[in-house]
Amino acid sequence: MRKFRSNWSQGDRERYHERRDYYQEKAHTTHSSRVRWTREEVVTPLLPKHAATSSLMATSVDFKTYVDQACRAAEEFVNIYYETMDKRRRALTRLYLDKATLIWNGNVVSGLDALNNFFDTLPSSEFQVNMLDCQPVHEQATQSQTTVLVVTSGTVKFDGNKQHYFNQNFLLTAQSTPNNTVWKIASDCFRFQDWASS
Amino acid sequence: MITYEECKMQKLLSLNLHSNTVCWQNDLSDIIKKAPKVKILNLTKNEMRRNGQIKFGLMVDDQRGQLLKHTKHDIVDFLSVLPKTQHDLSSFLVDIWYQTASICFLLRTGPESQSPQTSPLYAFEEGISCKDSILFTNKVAWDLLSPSLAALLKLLKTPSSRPQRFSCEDIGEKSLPSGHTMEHSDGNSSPQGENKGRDSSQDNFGKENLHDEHDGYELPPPHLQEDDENVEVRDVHEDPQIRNNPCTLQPNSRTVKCHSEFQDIISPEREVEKKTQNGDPGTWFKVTIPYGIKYDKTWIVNSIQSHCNVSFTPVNFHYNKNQAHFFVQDVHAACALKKVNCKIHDEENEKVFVFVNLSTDPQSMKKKMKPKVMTQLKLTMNKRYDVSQQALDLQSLCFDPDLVKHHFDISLNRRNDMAATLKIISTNFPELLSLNLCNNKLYQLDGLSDITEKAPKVKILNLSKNKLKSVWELGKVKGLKLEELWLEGNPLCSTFSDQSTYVSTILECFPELLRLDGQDLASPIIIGVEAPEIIKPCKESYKGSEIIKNLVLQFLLQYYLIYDSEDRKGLLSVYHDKACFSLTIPLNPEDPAPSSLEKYLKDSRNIKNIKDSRLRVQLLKHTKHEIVDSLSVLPRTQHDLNSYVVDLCIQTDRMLFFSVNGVFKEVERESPGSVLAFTRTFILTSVSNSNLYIVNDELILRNASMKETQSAFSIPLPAPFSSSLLTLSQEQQETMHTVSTQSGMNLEQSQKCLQDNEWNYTRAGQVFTMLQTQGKIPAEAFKQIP
Repeated sequence: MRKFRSNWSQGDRERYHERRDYYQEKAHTTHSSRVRWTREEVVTPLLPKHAATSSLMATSVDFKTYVDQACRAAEEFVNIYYETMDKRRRALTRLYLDKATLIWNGNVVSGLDALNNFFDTLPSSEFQVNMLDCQPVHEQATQSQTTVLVVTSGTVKFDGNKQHYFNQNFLLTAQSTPNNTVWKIASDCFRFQDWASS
Repeated sequence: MITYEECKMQKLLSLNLHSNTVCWQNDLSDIIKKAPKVKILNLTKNEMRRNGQIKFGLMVDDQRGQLLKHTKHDIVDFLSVLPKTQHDLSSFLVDIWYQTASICFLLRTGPESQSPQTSPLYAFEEGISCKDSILFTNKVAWDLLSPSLAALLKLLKTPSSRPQRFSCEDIGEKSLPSGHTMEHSDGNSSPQGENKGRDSSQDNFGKENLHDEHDGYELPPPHLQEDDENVEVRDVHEDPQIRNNPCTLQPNSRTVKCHSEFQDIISPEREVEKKTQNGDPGTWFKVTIPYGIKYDKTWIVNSIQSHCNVSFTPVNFHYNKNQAHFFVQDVHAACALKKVNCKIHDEENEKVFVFVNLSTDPQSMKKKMKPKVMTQLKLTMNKRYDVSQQALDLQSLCFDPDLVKHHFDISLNRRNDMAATLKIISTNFPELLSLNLCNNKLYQLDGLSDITEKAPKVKILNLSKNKLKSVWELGKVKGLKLEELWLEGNPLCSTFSDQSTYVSTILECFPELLRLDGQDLASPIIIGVEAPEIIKPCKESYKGSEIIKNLVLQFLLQYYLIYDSEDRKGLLSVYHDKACFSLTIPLNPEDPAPSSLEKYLKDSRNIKNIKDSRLRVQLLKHTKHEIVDSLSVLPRTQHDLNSYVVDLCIQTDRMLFFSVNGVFKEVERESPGSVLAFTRTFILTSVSNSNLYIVNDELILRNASMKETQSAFSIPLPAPFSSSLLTLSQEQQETMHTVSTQSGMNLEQSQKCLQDNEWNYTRAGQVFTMLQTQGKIPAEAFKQIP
């Protein structure tokens, strides 16, 4: 293995270690391009700056871009979120904003501490997401914070309980840093489809 | 044996040894060695007894011994290897030519007829017995019987000449299914299968007889019945041919008892009669239930009793490996029990077999405890009894000083000692709660199995420091509802790989156990992973106040009112200019779309499945016109507002974010399966005029579940009202109230009226009056909505 590794070219190595920078230039590639994210963060590259108007809905091109970005963020996010939920539950709260709220089958959990407690008590899970949809949220509602609405559906099995179908929606807000965009959950609403009978 | 010129022997092709009393293969072995080229060999009319292994090779003496199957295990092993047979019992003909209270054997004569042919009669009389066995021999031997023997047999045929002890009159025609007399088979002409049968029967009782150690035809005792074991297997011959030799006894007076371990053809009465002739007071019968270990004792006894018209008392019910056994003393009971066979069906609907056999006295009855010992035992036990705890400490009972002093040897391992102890317990301490049997060298708990009847209330049992080897022993006392059990110091404890397996196995036996080996068990229910519970779902969540809740409800009412109407264009007023809407149907790519959702499928935007970015954008409806256009195309619906469940996620001064779950049906399609369920997520924003507008709208559609379908539309819809009270300012509200009071209309209608007239009070009044005179305002408008 070592031998193999030493055969990597310099460029490869750099790419491996510094993908974040490398991909920043590739904002418009197809969805298969890797959106860089740290393990517990959803990060997408910055959009190319246009006119600093807050109305991102000005042109259809912009809209399309926005949709693309939203879609990419949503996809990556969903992957990370459910994987973290299943396998690294303790790290899950890092995906939430400080004042984020979770509504879980009607039970309100608000604030990071409460979220931590909640996720600790929640049995281990096995999620299977079958459907995902997302929309960029109009900035009118969000005070110019880029927000994406993500809606998912699928099945989940909690340890010791039977399998349920679930619907979940998130509101992700983007927190832009100089290098990239970090997406965090502002709101999370989860419900079993058959919540009434569980 | 045969002398011949060696050289000539070499060339020998045909050898005729007809009628030569050759009975040993060995005798021929010389010949075979010396005349290897023999092609034709005539051995007719000889005394060949064993044809099973006719091999013209050397037969060594060892083989002779080997071929003779001696112990019952050998015999049965040998028999088991033989091909499977099906005997036709109705074809059997059997001769019993002599029988005492227990039948005796007649066997062939000795070899070479050197054996004294004296007094066969003597032989018969002295003939010893194996209970209930039948004698068979082969025709060849018969033919070679000495004349005197033949004469004897003739003698036997005539009833009057039978010896005194011959009790064949007693034999009824009961046991055999066909009631035939049986005749043993014809030797030479029978096919292979019967040969084998015959051989084995010969083998069975051949034993030492062949060597004729005794005078005459005395026979050594064959295997007597051991303790509880049943009689040896006897195979019955199968040959429909009747022998030439008319040794057949009168057909109608003889039947045979075929007593085999696996056939229930016993007639107890006869047994009893025979026994009574011999002076036995009472006979014991052993009832065997194969696979009886599966059944609970009380259940099986009760089932048998219910099918049996004679009441019986089972004695010494115990399990032996897979079988359950008990004893009964009554002949009639035994008869009746015999008939219960295959009549009972267990829970799995399988037949329960019940076999009844004669047996010796059950052991436990044999050695009853002597009264002196009993008394002392009682005293000792009284000393060891703790009244306050209702605990009896029988630790190391055999070393108890009192008992030792009197030299009474009591070992709880022994059935009758344990039985006596239990008896004392049941009479003196029936309410016993705790029993300590520590250090009593208990190997098995058979004797303790009655404890469920004798001392049913025992909750604490100490079996530590005994010699119990398997948990199976505990199964014998399973009936006790133990709360505390001590097992440490038994070999069985080390058979478990770890503590938790040990505990869970014990718990299987005694599910209500609370303490094992002094340790509290986690919970009486299960040791294992307790299913963690998740928070109970609750219906709705409104983080805020009632106002918000009302707001949302109002909005929904309004929205769906328009949505369910024929023309969805009204929704244009609710959507923001740049709103987004998308619709999804969650489906696995492999699953076909249900037919009820066909019409929605083309708009379904599942990012997981759709990877083309253009399509993704296209399916997201952007402006309000696009949205309403696409919504208008969707089928007409009827939503069940009572089914709605709303989760309010975010509420700020600018945004209202909530999701609704509910059901609806399509109006055009009347088929029963047409209730669909939806989850709709709305993001509303309030713009300058403080109206709420939808900026994002996401709809998920699916088929409703059974429950949802059943509960859908169960409550009639309330009369919809179209106002959204929130949007009214204070001033507007006042106006509305004024209008309402003045016109007599209810608030809703007043509001509508005002709204239609753009909140122009005067104009509204004019319009109202006009309509009123025209009679166009329906009466309901004046009804006060409660």
